[in-house]
Amino acid sequence: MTQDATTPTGESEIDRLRREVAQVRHELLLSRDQVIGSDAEVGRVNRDLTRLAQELRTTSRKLRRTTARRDELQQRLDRSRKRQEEQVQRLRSRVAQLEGELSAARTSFPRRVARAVRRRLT
Amino acid sequence: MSRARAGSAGDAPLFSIVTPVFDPPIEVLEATIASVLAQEHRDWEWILVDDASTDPHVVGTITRHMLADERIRLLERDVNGHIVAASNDGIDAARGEFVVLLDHDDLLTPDALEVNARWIAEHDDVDYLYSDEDKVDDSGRTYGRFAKPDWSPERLRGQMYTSHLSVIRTSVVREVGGFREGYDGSQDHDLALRVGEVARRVVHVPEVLYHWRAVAGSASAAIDAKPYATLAGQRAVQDHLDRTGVEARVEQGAEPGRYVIHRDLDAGIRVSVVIPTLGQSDIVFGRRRVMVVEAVRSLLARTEHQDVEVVVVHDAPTPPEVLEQLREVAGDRLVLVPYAKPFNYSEKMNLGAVAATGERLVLLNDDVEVISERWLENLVAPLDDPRVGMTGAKLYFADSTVQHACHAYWGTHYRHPFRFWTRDEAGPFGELVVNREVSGVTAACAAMTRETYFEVGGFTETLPANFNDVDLCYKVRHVGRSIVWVANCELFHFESRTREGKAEAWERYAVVRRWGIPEEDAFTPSAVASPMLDPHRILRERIREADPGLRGTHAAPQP
Repeated sequence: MTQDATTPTGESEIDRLRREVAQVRHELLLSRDQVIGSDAEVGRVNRDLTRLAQELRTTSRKLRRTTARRDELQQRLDRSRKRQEEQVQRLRSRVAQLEGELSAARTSFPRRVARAVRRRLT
Repeated sequence: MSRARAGSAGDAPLFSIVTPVFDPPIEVLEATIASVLAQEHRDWEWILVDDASTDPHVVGTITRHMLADERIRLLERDVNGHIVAASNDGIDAARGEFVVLLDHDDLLTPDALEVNARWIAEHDDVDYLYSDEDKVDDSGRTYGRFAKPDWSPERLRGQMYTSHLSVIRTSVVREVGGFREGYDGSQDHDLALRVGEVARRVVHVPEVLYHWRAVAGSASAAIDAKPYATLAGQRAVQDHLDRTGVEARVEQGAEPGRYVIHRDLDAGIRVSVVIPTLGQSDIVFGRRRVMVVEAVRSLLARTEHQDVEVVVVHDAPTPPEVLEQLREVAGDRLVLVPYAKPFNYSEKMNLGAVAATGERLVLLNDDVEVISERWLENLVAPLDDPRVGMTGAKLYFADSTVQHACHAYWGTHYRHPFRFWTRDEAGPFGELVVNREVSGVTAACAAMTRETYFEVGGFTETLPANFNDVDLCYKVRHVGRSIVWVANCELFHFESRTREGKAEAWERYAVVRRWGIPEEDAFTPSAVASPMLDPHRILRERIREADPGLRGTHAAPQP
């Protein structure tokens, strides 16, 4: 004889209780799924956080290294600029000195040379 | 016997490499020696056991190297005792914490011992480590990488998959009695089974650390080169099942070196088969049939188990005559559960499980037909092992090509590897003919203990159509149980070969939200599963492997 798990019409007390037990069991399944799912999601989020924290540490280390390198290069650039400016200054002084000397001279060729040098420096 | 480590934690272990030697070609032996001398890890001893070689150059070669490196030791046997006796001599003489098994013609990669030492440092309770391997031919070309699964005790019953490189704690090898006489050819399989029974932890190293030399007559070149070996292997597996209390019979498999496990199911266990249906008909093999009726008829016809309950969860539109036919086929084994809500596969299955009274639940689609005899016994009996939470079956399309041989979760997606292989194919490394641990199985035919089903909350009803079985498999493994795919439980699944998957993005995201993005599968690695997606690619690779010269203009056409 075939059983029918849910027979709402004309049900006996036993059938009614059986149906209620089935409903409770079903609700239990839903609750367990929710618990397991939440547990899994928390685990997944924790793993993601751990990985992100690791990536953040790695990226921070890389950033620190890059920043230090940038600062070092900036300092080298500053030093290089300073040296260059000093050199330009020295050359200008020298040109001015030569111009002074040339202005005393009568030949036009050195004057032309001095003017050409001055143009290049300015 | 104490298995405490000899050194303090963090110490590099001393490895004892054990190699039985019998008349190898000298140049091959020299290559093997060179591969050991090239080890990056320095703490090793090498015990070469000459098994009364007839070629005097063998002992001469070993002696020359022994004089140059004090870590090399030579034991000479007076009489030829074959591989078991020679290997046991080596194990007896081992002073290291771990025994490393190396054949006299194979090659270690330079980092083989170093990588093992690293894994041992991470897990101080590890008793057995095995790595991936490939083959090497006469010209030194390596090929045929075997990307192995993580520790799979069920698969080890079906084939010796751990093989090379095996590294075993010396105290454990001695505890189980070393190699056993009478199992020549499968002595390593026999040892792995016995070690697996007692090992506290077994580690898979997913790197190739061993090149297995393929020479004519060796087991690596042709698996059927040593027929006596497969008989010994069958006995080794049967012994193992007897020792561990598994009621089962072992038979030779579809190809040498593969074994089929026929399990017995306790007659006192009630099995409830839960089937959702709408009572639809379709044309199968040229005849119209009511799918669910034929599914029930075949499932009852192809099992000897008596205590079977059939729980059919039927949607409201199911024709009354279909229910009447079911009553005729299943009689008082039938339990009908009406379902009158919008389609939700998960809820239907959960209601069926709630109504079921069996200790074991079989989840079955209504569009299947059981093919193999004793399908229920083979599918359900592995659940007697408390470590196993779920089993799955081998499903075929109507044309007998494989529809399902496990799930694999990798490369950000959920996949069906081995789809469209034919029924008589064994798979690249026996995957289609041996039972094995997997990441997941389809719920079109799966079995669970009632306890596990309720522990994990059954199917999630938030996924009414797709990926609910993927989520269920994740849950089973989340509670620490394994999933076993059963090769000798075969059914037709009359799902169309050309059916387009219509999964929605939100469904996939719901699974990812719980379990994360799948990256690499622990049991069916992408290296094994990936080429299976395209049978034409396999054909091209086989052609190239047979004759590398065909690589150019004569290569197989692109599909």
